[in-house]
Amino acid sequence: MKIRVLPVLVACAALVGLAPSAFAAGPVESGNWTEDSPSYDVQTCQGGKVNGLTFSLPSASAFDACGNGAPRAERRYRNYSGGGTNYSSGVRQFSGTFTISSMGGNRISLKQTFNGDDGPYFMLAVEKTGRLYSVEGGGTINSGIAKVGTAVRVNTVHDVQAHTLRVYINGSLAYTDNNAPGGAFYDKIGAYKTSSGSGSITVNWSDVHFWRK
Amino acid sequence: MSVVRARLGAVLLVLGLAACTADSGLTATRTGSTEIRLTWPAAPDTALGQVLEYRNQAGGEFTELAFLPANATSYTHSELIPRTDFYYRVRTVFGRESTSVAVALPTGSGPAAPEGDWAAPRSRPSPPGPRNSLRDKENSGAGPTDLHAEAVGTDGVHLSWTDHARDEDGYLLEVTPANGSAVRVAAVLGPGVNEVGVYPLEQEHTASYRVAAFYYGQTSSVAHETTGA
Repeated sequence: MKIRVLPVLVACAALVGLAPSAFAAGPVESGNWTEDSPSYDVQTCQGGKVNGLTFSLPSASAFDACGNGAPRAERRYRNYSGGGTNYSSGVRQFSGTFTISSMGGNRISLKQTFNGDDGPYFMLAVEKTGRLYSVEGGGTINSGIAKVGTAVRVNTVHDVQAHTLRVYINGSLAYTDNNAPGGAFYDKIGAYKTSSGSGSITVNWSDVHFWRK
Repeated sequence: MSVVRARLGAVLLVLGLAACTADSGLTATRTGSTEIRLTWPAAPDTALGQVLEYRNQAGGEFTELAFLPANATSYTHSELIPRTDFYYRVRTVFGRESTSVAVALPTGSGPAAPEGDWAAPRSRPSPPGPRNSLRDKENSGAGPTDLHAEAVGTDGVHLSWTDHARDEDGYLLEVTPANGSAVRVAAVLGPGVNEVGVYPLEQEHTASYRVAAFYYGQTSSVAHETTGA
C-alpha cells in the first residue's frame, strides 16, 4: 500500500490564522446573561458612508441637510429585548472590536450610549494621536491605544437601575460612572464628528454583541 | 484505502499544528483579584519583537494587547474585568528594519497638519527590481530602505520608504522619543504599504522613526486565568 505524505504545511502562522473560529464572543462579568439581538438603522450625513461594519467620513464634507448636520456614519441600535425601541431597565452589556484603518481627522466618536431624546450620555471618541477619551468631560480613557491597524476591544456594562456604567478597553477598566442618569438608552457605533472634531476616518467594527440580565 | 489515507492525513495535520504552536512556557498567574501576570521565555536573538494578545473566550479572535521588545519576558494585565476568563498568547515577530530618521516638530505657533487624506496608508508604485524574501536569513535585501520622514504642520509626520520584501505580513512603524520615553509601535500597516502619516504623542514631538517589514513566527500555546470578584 502506497502512503502519500501530505505536503509540508506552508507556514505556521498562516495555518493558525486559517483555523476556523467556531466560537462567538461571550459576555464578560459572569452572571445569568442572555444574548440580545437588537436591530439597527444606518444613519449617514455629510458624506459619511457605511458598508457593513465599515464606517467612513470624508475629509471634506459634502453638504447634506440631515440631522444636526454633523458628518456621521453610524448604526443606531433599537428594539432591545425587554425594552422596546430603547432599553430602560436591566443590566446591558455591549462588546465589539474596532480597528482604524485610516485617520486624517481628529476627535471623532466611535461608540455612543444615547439617553433617549436627551442626547448622548456617553461618547467614546478618538483623537488623531490614538488617544481615546470621553467626550463628556474630556477625560482620557486610554492614551495612544487606537493606532492605525491595531484592533481595540471595547466592553461596556450599563446597570440602569444602579445608575452605573463601566467601560473596559482591552480587558482593563478604563472608565466608570457611578452617577449615570435614568431614562431610556440605546447604542450607536460607527463614526461621528464631534463638535470640536474634523476630517476623515475609516473604522471597522467587528464581533459586536449585546447581552442583558 | 481512502479511510487509511484520511486518518494518516489527519494525524499529520495534528502533528503539524502542534509544531506551529509549540509550548513556549507562557504562564498566566492571578496576582490580584483583577490582575494577571504573564511570563514566558525570551524570544530568539533574531526576533524583532513580540506581540501579546488576549481574548475572553476559549476560541475566536485574539486582540493585540501589547507590542513588546524581543527581550520582554513578562507583562502585567491589570484592573481587569471581574469574574471573567482571560486567554493569552505570545507571537514572535521577525523581519528587517530600516535605518532611523529623526524628526523634530516645529515649536511655537503655526498651522497644524491639514485636514485630508495625507496620513492614509498607501502603496505607491515601487521602483523596478527584484523583491526578496524576509524569511531568507542570508539575504538582507528584503528590508525597507530610503526611509524619508518630514514634519507636516506642527503636529504631523509623513513617512515614505521603499519596499523590497515580497512576503511580509505587514509593516510596523516604530517611534523612539528623544527624551528617553519608551519606544512605541505607532502603526501596524498592511503588506505593500510604503507611505503613511502619523500624529505623534506629546513626548514624541522630537523622535526617531523606523519601519520594519515583518512576519509572524512561532505562536505560543494559550495560557488561561479567571479573574476574581
